[in-house]
Amino acid sequence: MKDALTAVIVDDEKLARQYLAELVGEFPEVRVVATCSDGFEAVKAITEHGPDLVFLDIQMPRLDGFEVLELVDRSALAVVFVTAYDQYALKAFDAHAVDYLLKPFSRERLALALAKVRRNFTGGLPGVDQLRRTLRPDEKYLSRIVVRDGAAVSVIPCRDVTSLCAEDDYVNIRSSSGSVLKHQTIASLEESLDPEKFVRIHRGSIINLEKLARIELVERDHYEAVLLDGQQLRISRAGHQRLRELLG
Amino acid sequence: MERTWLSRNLVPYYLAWIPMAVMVTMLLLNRGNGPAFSIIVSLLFCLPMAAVGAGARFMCRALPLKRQRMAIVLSSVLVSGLVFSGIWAGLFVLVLRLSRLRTPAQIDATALELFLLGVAAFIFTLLYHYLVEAAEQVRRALHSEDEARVQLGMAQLRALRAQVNPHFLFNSLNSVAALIGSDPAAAREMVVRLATFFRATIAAGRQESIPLSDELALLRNYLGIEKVRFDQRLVVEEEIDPALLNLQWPPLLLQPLAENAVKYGVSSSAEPVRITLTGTLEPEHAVLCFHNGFDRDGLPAPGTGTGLAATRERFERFFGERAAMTVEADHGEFRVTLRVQRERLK
Repeated sequence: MKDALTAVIVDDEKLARQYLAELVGEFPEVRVVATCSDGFEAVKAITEHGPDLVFLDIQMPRLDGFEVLELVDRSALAVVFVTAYDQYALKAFDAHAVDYLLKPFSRERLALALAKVRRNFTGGLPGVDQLRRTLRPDEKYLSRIVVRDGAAVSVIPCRDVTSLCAEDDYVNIRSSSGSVLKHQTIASLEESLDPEKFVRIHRGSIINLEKLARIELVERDHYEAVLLDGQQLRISRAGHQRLRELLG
Repeated sequence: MERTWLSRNLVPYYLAWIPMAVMVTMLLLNRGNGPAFSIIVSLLFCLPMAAVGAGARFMCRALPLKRQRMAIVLSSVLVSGLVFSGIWAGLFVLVLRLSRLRTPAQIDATALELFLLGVAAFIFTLLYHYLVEAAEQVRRALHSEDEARVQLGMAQLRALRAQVNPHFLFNSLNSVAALIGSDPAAAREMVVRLATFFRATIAAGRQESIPLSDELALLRNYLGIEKVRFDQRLVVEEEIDPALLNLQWPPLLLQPLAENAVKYGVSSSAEPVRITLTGTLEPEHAVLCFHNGFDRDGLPAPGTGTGLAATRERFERFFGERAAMTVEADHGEFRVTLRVQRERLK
């Protein structure tokens, strides 16, 4: 372990950042390498600095705390969530033994959190999807997909997505604003999408029903989906059945 | 409860028929009948009586005891007793005559006794039911009174809890904690603003109405607190026709609108969000308009229903039918318009 913990502070409120930085400043063994006022900055800073620890606000505009975690390498990152009040979050954190600070917190509480981080370094953070699901029982499905390409982050509203196709370890997400690659399996992405709107038409592809123009019979038992943007995707037998069920 | 003759609350009722059956048996034995005959007739007398009497509970419900209808109730009780007992005695006479088990004189004498006994039993049965029913009513009345009191308390509690929004409270306290280190004067100001806010919240439960000028001062105070938190991300604009300032207004009616604007607008948008409040005079109405932007890619915009339903209800109850509240949400803009008839300005 390194001598000093490097830390990144993420909060959309200036005073909250300031307060956290001030308290953390009293611990010489922690060095704040960046303070970020939104999720985009956070992804950039975490990717650049590779800190040991991030203090992460949950509710932020554009990119929330969970989306930030989804986009960064968490293998050597300890996370302490910082929130003012969120009954679901607290339940989820307790259930998954994730540490959190409740605003406003004392110096002593911060010391405890830091001690815990040092003891149990990467802290066994559960999958972000899992955490999010416990946390927002009313938001069962994603409303937007976040993708990072280097330091650039894009947020794609699900309603704009036309298709998602597996490509090796990535999923190619096509939307009205072009196509991007996301490092995730198609099966795990499928789980977080609304099954009323997104259908797995083939082992390697999911389409947005609203973007489906027509289904063509290419030859016997071989169908293809033609999407509004002209893309053609093969439909498997099981996929055809699923489509028929959804389209009635 | 509804399967009357089997119902559990009828157990004491059926038990009460046992002495009756014993009495009838004794009577028949005294008239020189054999034990088997006496017991059988007694059972044939009591069992249907008890069953029909249990059904008479419905009659009690259909004809509740009320002063002006006492005569009707009493006469129908008497008539039904006579009719039922008469039918029974008639059948009794018929069966015994046909079977020739007793002499006609014996039969008639026993039948008359059993008939009178039947009428009496029927009337007692009904009295019993009326008593039970009355007791039940008293219990229900007490219960519903309790219920009403509990509901009122719950409503007050809900209102109070809604007013003290935990997000607001803890985030504000966090701002105070931050300011104490960096800007003690601002921290002091923030504490005073918070105190003003909570005082107003507590007072709002007691006051029926306040002048609109006071309501606007409270709103300014609240948005001032949020402005400390969000800094340049929150811009407040206000343009109110002074003629509106004396309008009597339900306290903190605008508060949920401001909270929504902060929640869905300011806190979920990275760009500055403008909250605009305008008050204008139209020929027929005084119009107050609350308007804010929100990030379309952020949290889902507040629907035009749920959260504002309570505000609408309160507004309409206070200003009556000719006042109107309209909610529009589109193109990243959210607008609530409150129209009050102009004579309210006095």
